[in-house]
Amino acid sequence: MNRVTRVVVALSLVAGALHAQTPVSGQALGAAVRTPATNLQSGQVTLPSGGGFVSADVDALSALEVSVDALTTMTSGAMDTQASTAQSTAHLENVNVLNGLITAETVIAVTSSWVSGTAGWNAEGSSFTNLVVNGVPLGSGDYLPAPNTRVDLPGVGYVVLNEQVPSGASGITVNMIHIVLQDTLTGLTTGEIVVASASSSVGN
Amino acid sequence: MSKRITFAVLAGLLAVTLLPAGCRDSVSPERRAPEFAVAAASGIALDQQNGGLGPTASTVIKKGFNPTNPRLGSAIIATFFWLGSTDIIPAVTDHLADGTPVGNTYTLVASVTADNIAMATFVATNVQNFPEGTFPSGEKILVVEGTFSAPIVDGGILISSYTGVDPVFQRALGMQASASGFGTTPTVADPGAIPVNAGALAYGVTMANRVVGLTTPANFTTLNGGPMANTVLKTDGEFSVQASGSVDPQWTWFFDQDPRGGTWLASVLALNPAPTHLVFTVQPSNTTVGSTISPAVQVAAQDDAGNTVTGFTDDITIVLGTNPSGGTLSGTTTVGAVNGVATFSNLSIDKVGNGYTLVATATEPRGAISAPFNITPRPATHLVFSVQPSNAVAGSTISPAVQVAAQDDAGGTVADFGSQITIALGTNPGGGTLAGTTTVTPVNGVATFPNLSIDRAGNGYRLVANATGLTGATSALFNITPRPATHLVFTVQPSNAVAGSAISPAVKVAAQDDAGGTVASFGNPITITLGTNPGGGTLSGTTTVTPVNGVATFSNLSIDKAGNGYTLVASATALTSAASAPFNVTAPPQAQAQVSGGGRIDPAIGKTTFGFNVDGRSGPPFQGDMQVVYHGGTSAMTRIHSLVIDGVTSSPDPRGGVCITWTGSARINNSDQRRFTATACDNGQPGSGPKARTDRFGISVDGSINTGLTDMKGGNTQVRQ
Repeated sequence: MNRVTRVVVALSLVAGALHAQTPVSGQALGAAVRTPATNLQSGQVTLPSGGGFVSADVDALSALEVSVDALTTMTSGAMDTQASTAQSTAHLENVNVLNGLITAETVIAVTSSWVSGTAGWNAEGSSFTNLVVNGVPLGSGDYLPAPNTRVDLPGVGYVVLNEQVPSGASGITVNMIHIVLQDTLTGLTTGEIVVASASSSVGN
Repeated sequence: MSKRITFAVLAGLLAVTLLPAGCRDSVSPERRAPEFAVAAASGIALDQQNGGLGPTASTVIKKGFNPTNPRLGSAIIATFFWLGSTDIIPAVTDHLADGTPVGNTYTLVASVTADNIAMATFVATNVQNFPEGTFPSGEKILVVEGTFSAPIVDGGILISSYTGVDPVFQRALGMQASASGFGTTPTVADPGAIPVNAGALAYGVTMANRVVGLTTPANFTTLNGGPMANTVLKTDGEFSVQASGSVDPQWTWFFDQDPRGGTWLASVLALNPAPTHLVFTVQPSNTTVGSTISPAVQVAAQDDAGNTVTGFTDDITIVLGTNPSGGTLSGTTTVGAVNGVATFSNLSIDKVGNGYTLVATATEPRGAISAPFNITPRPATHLVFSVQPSNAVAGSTISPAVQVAAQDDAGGTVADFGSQITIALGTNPGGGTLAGTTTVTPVNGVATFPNLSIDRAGNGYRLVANATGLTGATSALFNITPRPATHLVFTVQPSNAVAGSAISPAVKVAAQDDAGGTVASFGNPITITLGTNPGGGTLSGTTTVTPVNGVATFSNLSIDKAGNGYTLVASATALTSAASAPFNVTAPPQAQAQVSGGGRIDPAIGKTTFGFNVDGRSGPPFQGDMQVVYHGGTSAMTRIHSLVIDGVTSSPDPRGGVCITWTGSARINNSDQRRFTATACDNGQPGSGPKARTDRFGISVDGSINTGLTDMKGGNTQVRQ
């Protein structure tokens, strides 16, 4: 499977049945590129199923498709008979995708999942700072597009901003920048780029 | 029964009593000022009399009061009788026998003529200007002289003087009546009835052209010793002093004794007595102060016999006599007498007192003093704030002292009101309490409240005063101003606390006045600092607070290091600072908890993400790890990564939940190694962010970084104990 940040957690249990020592999971990713020419993942961390804390620092990422001055990813979680929680963050500084097609001063992805009587998740805290897409500034300062905002990138494909992919009652993956590369003639997908991804889940 | 007088006697009398005419002085005598007649107690009384009839061939008939002159001030009645008609009625004057003119005025008051006989009566009152006494030699005898306009052949005069007659002619003269008639049989000569006042003189005369028998009126006294007669005429004069009513003297002429029959004349007149003194016929009654004395005071002018002189119409004036209280007499104090009586219908006196008297005076009669009477207080009906409450400072005595008077319906203070008067708060805008002596027994009708005070400021206070049976009073508005704040006081002292935890209950500091009252209006900020600092701690939380109603509440103070005997100092501009009681700060207990979490905060240093997992049950040193990243603007990303965790404590979160603080050393951007303190607070609910009650996270790194304990924008903290 080429998509390095997508975590799919199938939850079939109802939330109320999950809180007894429910396993937790979490991942965070600074950037991932899958093209015919490039296959990389930077700053990926994965939470052990019993919980704990994992983090990764990357001082600089400089690839053909993506460059980042610095990034830190973290994921943490805990299990308890009363509640289980997991949360992940990806924090990137000075992001440049596809030679300036998309730039941002800061990109932060945050997810939080829990089971405590009820199950839930959110992506509060995720945001861009000074996001520019295809030369067009989107928002100003701290900015968060609506979930799953698609912007076409002529000659490239399209980008989904603040892509949120729920899974089950308490699973959530947030990809702040998810570019789908397409063939300009056929429209077929030729690759994808994910920048700043965080996912968390309780139970599976 | 008739009286018969012989002609010889009549001739002798005429020869003796008729005086020569013609010796008159044209100079009028000097009139003395009228004097108040002080008559004998008997009222009007006959003083002197004389008279006579006889033939004459002159125009003059005169007669002297031989040998004793009348009393000065008396009234003289002179009746002239003559053959002829009243066409020649005389002009009457007087003089002394030696010819000295006297000058009293004689006024014709009655005349009658019939069958060629005539009779005219003249009156002079208050006669003066002649010597009193008896004059045997005759030269100072007062002579009354009538001068006719034509000679008469036969006639005479009857003169009489009376004391006690009103000296003022207009008042003295009462009614008169005259009549005439003819008869051949015993005939009643009746001038007609006239009304008379009490004590008045009734004077009657009759004459006839026949010298026949005559009976005189009952209850009259015959003047001059009896009827007078000569050869052709017979006369008679009578007088009496009457009770109030009417008089109708009647004579009986026995014309049956003369075959020709006869003609009679008769006159009657009344002279009123002199008012000699005033009398309170209605005495002043005891009356309440300021009220009209009722029944109306009446003062009568009376003669010496005690008869009211109904002809008296002069003004009578009332003044205060005995005045025990310096009162003032009001009302109409000068009243003209009506029928001799002056009625004072609206007199009043303005001050209470016992033994007042009134004095009545008039121009002539002697004055009178009333019986003593009392002016009594009016009953108190209501209360009045005679000294209104003044603005005052809270807790201070209201000065000048409030006074409440018991007043009557006319607004006069009722000095003898002795029931207690109680004062209380009426309008109470400040919710104050009235202190001091609030129930007072009045003195002279006024209750003085010398030490009233109100403890709370407010604008528009009112006092109310009440007393049993009286309508209460409400004072004017007044204000109680706050006392200025002078100093601060810890009203809630700091309690012993755990280091880093909020001091609970919240410390409170009040701005108080010099009397220890909280000054609610004080609004300057109050600041708390550490005083005694045995642990070298740092005071955190909101240390400057604007007081509410004079009290500043410090709800989140904390000290980060343990120590015994800490004190706080409260200060505010212009007030004396306060130091708290000492209190202790103890080290927080080691947390027997695990904490994990991650997310984002946005403190001032920049967007910060973090994650951690710390086991407070495992050390020290403790198992766990922590990473914090922040990025402020264009600055480069800073990373804080824990190396060693050597302390973990827990404390209640004042917002609910629990806070875990862990300390240790960390590497900054993979180079510097510094001490850090991180705190995460779990609100007990998962999923921080704007949609939920947030967890908090904060970190400080010695000398460089401090996020403060900040609400999380995303992520979660979970504490497991």
